[in-house]
Amino acid sequence: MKGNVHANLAQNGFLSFCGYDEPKWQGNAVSIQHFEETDQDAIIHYLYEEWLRRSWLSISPRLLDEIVGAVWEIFTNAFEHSETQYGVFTCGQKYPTLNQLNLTLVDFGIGIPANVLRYAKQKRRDPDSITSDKALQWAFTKGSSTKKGKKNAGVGLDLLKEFIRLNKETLEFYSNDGYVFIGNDKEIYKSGLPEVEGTVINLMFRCDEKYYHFSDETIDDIWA
Amino acid sequence: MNIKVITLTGEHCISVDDGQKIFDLVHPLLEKGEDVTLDFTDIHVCASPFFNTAIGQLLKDIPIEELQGHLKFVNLSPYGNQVAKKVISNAKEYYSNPNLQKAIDDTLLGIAESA
Repeated sequence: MKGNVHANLAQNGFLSFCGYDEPKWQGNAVSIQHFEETDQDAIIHYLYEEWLRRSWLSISPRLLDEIVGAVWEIFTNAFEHSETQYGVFTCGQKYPTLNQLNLTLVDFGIGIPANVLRYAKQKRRDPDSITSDKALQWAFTKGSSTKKGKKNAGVGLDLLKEFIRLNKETLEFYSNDGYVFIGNDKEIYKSGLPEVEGTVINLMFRCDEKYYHFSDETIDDIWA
Repeated sequence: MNIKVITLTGEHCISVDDGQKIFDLVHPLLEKGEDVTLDFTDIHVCASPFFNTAIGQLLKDIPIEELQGHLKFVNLSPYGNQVAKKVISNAKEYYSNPNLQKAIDDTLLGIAESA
């Protein structure tokens, strides 16, 4: 293993997590964490204390709350839809030179395209004609949800997408053989990539509040 | 009735379970035609699973015009307002037409199939 890769894996606690005698240390890494279930308090604490507060030089409480709200949509989505048997793993990294902060989430669940194809089959559509890129595009469309059930749903990814777009961040999903990139005013969907068991999500944030677009101070009529 | 949301949910309004607590409290009151104010003072983080459950599912059996007249939100953060607005807009579409979901599914899946 290359020295810098080894150092990074030791620093964020991956090696000690895997049983090696390599204690993690506080550098630019955000330590690896395993959430077996939707433990709201533990996840929110991780996002505030491990990921955001330690890595950002200055950030207003309001922006902090908005970012945590947007990122929570990913966690809850992973637990609700992925059918993961192993929970969700997450870690992060600060890049001081680029002034950027990364967060990665991994589940080993069914994968978004497989989930959409199963749903299409239930709806008596032809799953063979839906490629992973199109399945992902469907999942990212407002109002789409494979878990409608008794309640309306399907706005979580749309909210996240809007937050990413407004704040000029980037978001990547690798799921089964599909890939999504959202950022730089573009949305790119691909299929035919090497198969991933489950979903890997990469978020890249800029560590400078001046780039952020706060939600409009004017409170719109909520019912309109 | 004025409800301090934080007393039921804690300082974050993000989960389905907390949304259900609010729904279970306000749904019978609104069905009786009472006025309800949800006060979000000191709530920090807002997310869609909470609002889908607390507010979105009210539209299943209470017309939007009645909710507009009887349910008020105060001290909700601008981001919380944005989340709630999107959830309500989605719920309006979802519950206003029982065949709409099938139409949405057919349209979106059809687009995916044909691309």
